[in-house]
Amino acid sequence: MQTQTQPMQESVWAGGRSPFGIRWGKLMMWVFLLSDAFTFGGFLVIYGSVRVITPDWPDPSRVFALHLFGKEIPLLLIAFMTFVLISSSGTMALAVHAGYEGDRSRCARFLMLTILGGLTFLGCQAYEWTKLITEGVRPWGNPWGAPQFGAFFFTLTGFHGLHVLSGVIYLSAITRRVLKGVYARRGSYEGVEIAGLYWHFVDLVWVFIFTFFYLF
Amino acid sequence: MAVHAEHLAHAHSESWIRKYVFSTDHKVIATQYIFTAYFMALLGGLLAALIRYQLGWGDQASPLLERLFPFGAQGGVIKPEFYLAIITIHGTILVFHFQTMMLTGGFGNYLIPLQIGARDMAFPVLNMLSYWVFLASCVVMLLSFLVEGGAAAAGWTVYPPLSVHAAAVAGSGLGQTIWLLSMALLIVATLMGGLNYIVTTLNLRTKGMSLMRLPLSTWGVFFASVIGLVTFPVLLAGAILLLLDRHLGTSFYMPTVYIGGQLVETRGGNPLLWQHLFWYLGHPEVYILAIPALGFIGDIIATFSRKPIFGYRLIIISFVVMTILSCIVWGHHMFTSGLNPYIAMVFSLLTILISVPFGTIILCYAATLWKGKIQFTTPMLFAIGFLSLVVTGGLGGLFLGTASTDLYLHDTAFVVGHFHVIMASSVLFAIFAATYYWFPKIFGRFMSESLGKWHFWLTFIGVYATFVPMHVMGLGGMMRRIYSPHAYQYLQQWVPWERVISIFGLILIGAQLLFVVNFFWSLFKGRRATDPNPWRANTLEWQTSSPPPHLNWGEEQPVVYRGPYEFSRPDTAEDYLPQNTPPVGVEVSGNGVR
Amino acid sequence: MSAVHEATIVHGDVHQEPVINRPHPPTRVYLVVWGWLFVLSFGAYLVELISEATTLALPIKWSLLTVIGLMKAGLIVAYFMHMRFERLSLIYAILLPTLLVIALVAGLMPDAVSLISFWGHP
Repeated sequence: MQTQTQPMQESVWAGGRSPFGIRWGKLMMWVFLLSDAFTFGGFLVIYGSVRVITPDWPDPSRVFALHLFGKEIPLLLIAFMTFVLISSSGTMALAVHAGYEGDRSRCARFLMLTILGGLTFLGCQAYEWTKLITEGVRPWGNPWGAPQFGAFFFTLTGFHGLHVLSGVIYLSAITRRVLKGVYARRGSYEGVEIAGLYWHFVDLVWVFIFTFFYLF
Repeated sequence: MAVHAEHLAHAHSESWIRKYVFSTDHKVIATQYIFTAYFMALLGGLLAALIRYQLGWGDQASPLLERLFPFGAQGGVIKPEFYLAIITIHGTILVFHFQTMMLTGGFGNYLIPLQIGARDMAFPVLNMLSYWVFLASCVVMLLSFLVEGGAAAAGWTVYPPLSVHAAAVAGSGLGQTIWLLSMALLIVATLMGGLNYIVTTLNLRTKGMSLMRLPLSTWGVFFASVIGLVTFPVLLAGAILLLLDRHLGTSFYMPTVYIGGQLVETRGGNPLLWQHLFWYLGHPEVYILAIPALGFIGDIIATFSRKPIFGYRLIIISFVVMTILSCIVWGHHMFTSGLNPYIAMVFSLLTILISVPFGTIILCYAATLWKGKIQFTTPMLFAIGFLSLVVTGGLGGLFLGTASTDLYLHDTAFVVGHFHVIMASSVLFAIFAATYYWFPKIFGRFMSESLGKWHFWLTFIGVYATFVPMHVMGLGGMMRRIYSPHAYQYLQQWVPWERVISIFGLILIGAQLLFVVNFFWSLFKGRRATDPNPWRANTLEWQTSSPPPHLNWGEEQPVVYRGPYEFSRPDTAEDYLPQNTPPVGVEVSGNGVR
Repeated sequence: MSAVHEATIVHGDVHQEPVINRPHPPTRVYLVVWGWLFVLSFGAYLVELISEATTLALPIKWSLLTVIGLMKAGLIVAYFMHMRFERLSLIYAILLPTLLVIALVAGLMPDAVSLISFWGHP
């Protein structure tokens, strides 16, 4: 029998809200990025553990050097690619920023710049792959040393490049929606912000590949 | 969030295909998962029967076998390469395609939105895709039996160099590639599901459903998804590299070795690397299964003891600790692999440490049973059987977790027995308990109690009689993964043991036919569950009709006022108090929201 | 039922906050972070050039590069991905699991090292 004498301690808590204070779409992207971080983390740790036991690892700064003006400049192309990707990350951040302020055309412009950056990066990567393949780098061997060098080069940059490619496609779809005014009507540019998270993550991964594969 | 009645009515005007095949309703997807996973279980069980037959009577030709498998068992005796394919696929589909998918994809999918009071998953289409990718994975895996060389034969752990070089073993041809593709699909399906479960649990809870009011089932699936989130991607990375090793000529895992007297054109690879990567998932996988199983059992035990669960917060904390520890103990599978002994010591210590949260949960459940008004229904019997198996298996685990004893026991039948008690059988019991418990909710009919009790006792006795003697054989030096104990002089003493185990094993497998009959009979002819809450439980899924309507709730989502285990309160007339019953003294307005 | 309706019903978070005009840093902050990212990347490149020209000890080079890489990663996560402006619970929930990568390293590296001591490193 429920009695009135004993006051109930139970209270209605406002559920339905994320303990993280973000909505489900953004949370989903964060959680996905966490899992993707483990894919790349896995690749990089594998690479590290192979690298330390492989004696005749080719010197990446020689392999990726470019001949320019009669001089050999180490890692020039890679430095340029890093520059491009960081720039695209910057324009992406500005696009998200424009979204916050509800500036539709500025948001779309910066998104297009970002896509352009992504395409430039992919172009450089295609050039780099072609150059190395013509120089004789294969997944099973290369002219300079440990066969694992080629294997990791193609795996790491290939997997990252795939992410850049899907990012470009993703951003194109988002840009189209921005231009059509989908987000303006909705009163929220969160879609742009979520896409931004993905793009920055791709940049983040490149930071580690650049550091651990090209510079080490 | 109010739903207009017209939308609910609209929901039923969809075509049959949209409603039952390509549905985005989490309940339909969950049912698809349950049927598919049980089908895979059936196949895995049949493969187990073949394994037991071979180990018991492999020296005798059987005309029936020849008729069944004209290629795999020429002359009535299972060929060694076919046997290896059988044990590989048996392990793979039962661990991944049955147990993992049943617990998270099946019951997790069904229960999460219902238990948190949501209308569906956060991403219904992704949820549907997850199922179809899983189905593709199942089909691809089974097709591998038909290709040249047969299915993968490197064991469910697919260690290189067996799994890399096509000449290493018969199944290392196309079959191994297909195995890897199927696993990649499965990982993608698991991740798509897992991301969805995490986001749904965190963000779609109804009003009043704070985290500390979630039922243990939901918590279990949530933590399992978290573990999957951080470990499956690493295996994905490893599997991609293994594929490259097989088809692009890289040598990530292949050292310079002779295979079949021939020098292999690879150099510098490290086979141990794969073992690390595999077990980095492989061990947490145990907890991907154990934590949801513990969650389901918690719900069932509380309901049928008519008592609040003992130490709810303690159990959640233990889940968290298990989640963390489970990811850093994988090395105990590799004590005999030439692992660095210092790291082996750390892994050994962490492994023993994980028994603390595990034991805590078991003690909490035992304390819940203590002085409860226990109702020995079939789900409750399976839940108690689960506790029994976990304790038995855990004791065996102490020997394997300690590096020094594991060195002796590792490649013996002890490991097979231990694994099948602690993981295979206990999780199977949890799945059965969940099936008997939630069947009335899912299908609107009860499963037969009398058949269910027969099923329980035969399974319970069968499991102990099959797997405990394996521990003894293992101590006596019986090897595992062995094709035929009959061929070795020094193993002759174990041949009678193998036969007895085989007899009990076949009884165990046969007893599952009772379940199959019960399942399908009850599906069409079972007693109707007219009462939506037949077990008088508190959690939200029992507060809607059976089976629940499209979008789960009527006009309004339920509002939650208390935790999920308020049984036998002294101040209520009934011995249970559903989570959404408004407390006395709270004014309830017309729409049910305060 | 139309797809739009389904979406609004299923995903009807009660607590939809307007995202326009939610607290965010001024444009200047992004530009400054951007600038720092360039500076740090150039720094890393410089370390590489210096180690080419001189005989910089490998451990020093590696630790310098790692520190620079982590700083860049921190800037990207904190400002570009807005982590700094999220709730502390999200920061913990996303960043703490990544520590598991350290466990992976700790598990794999000793093995690699023991292989070196077994085979010998030429």
